[in-house]
Amino acid sequence: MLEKQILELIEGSFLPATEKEELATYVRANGVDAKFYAKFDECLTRGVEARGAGFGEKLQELERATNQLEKKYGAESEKLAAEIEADLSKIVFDDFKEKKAVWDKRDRAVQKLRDNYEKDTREVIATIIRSVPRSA
Amino acid sequence: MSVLLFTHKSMLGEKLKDIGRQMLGQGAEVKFKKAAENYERTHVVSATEARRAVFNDLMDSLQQEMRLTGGIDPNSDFWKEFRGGMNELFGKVKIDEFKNEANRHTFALPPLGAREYDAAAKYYKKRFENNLPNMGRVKALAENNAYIRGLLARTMSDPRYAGSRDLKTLMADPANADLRASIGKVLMAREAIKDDYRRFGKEIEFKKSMDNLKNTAKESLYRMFIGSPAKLMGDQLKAGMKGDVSGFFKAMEPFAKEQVKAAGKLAWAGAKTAASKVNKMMD
Repeated sequence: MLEKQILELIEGSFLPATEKEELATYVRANGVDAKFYAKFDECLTRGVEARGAGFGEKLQELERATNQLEKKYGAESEKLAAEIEADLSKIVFDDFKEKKAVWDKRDRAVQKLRDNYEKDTREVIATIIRSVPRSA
Repeated sequence: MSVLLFTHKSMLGEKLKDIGRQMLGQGAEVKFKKAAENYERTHVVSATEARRAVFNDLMDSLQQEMRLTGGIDPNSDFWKEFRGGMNELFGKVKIDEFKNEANRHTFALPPLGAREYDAAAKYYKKRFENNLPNMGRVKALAENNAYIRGLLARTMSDPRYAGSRDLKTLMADPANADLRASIGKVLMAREAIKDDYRRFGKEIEFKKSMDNLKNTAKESLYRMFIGSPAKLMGDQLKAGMKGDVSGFFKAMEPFAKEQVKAAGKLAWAGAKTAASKVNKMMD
């Protein structure tokens, strides 16, 4: 009963196929003993450490890429803000009609910028996610 | 008898009409109309005088609210009532004409001090969950507020307005274009404020949605790398194997505690949930 349960655990684990096979062969031949647990534990620990390193790397890659985009679009957004400040400063304070026209133009530009920022971020995320090895 | 019946029928008709208008979103207009009728009865003045007095009160209340809060709340009851009063007094078509008239006039911005800018900044923070827009927007709110208050005060103290008993006639007079324009400017300044609130709200919303997008990506990575080991841990615990694979359980600890914390300061919900699940398994 325990043997069957252990074999199921091995089969359903994240371990590479070769290690799964090796562990299963051992259990079938010798049953579940202290040596098996030591081997199983060793494989699992090694596997988790490798995954942990991979996770950390991908997380950093994601941070780097999204921060870069944030910086790029942040700068463009600031440029737009400066432009509108300059445009507004040329308009009489209570010429709301003219001001609205300037703001409407700026709103369209901001929307376009946001759409591009979101699109680029989604693309970067998708690329990173796709780059994760299948074995992970 | 027939006269009484006619009066009763006509009153009932008026009431039904008011209910219909309220259902059509003209609650503020009906409220203004009723307040004016009430004023007319209690002060024994003409209907036009009563409407003028009630409208004056609304202008006054609005100014006070702006002075106290440093902004105009989009849901301000005073503004709604002021707007309803205007619609009732002048009609929507006339009000559009006021705005057109406003484009041909310009009024000076009253002098502003640090207090006004500070009040505008506080208003933004209070209204937008402690978020503050750039100085340009704070400045615009402070200026528009001061401008609206200035125009309302200017209108109320204008001898033509102060001496008028009938605002509708006063505003229809071709000689009073500047009075119409000042009301038109109030409306346009208010629209400018509202547009700024909308823009800033959208800005915050966008930032939140981008943060969410990034956090979801982190959560996916977490699931891809640590999801299977976490599941295996759960299965092993069920099978009573914790002590037999202690190295593995130890290796999982950072994901349950430190690493998740360091990677995103526990900022993303999914990872938090995963971490808490793993933590529970560790207990």
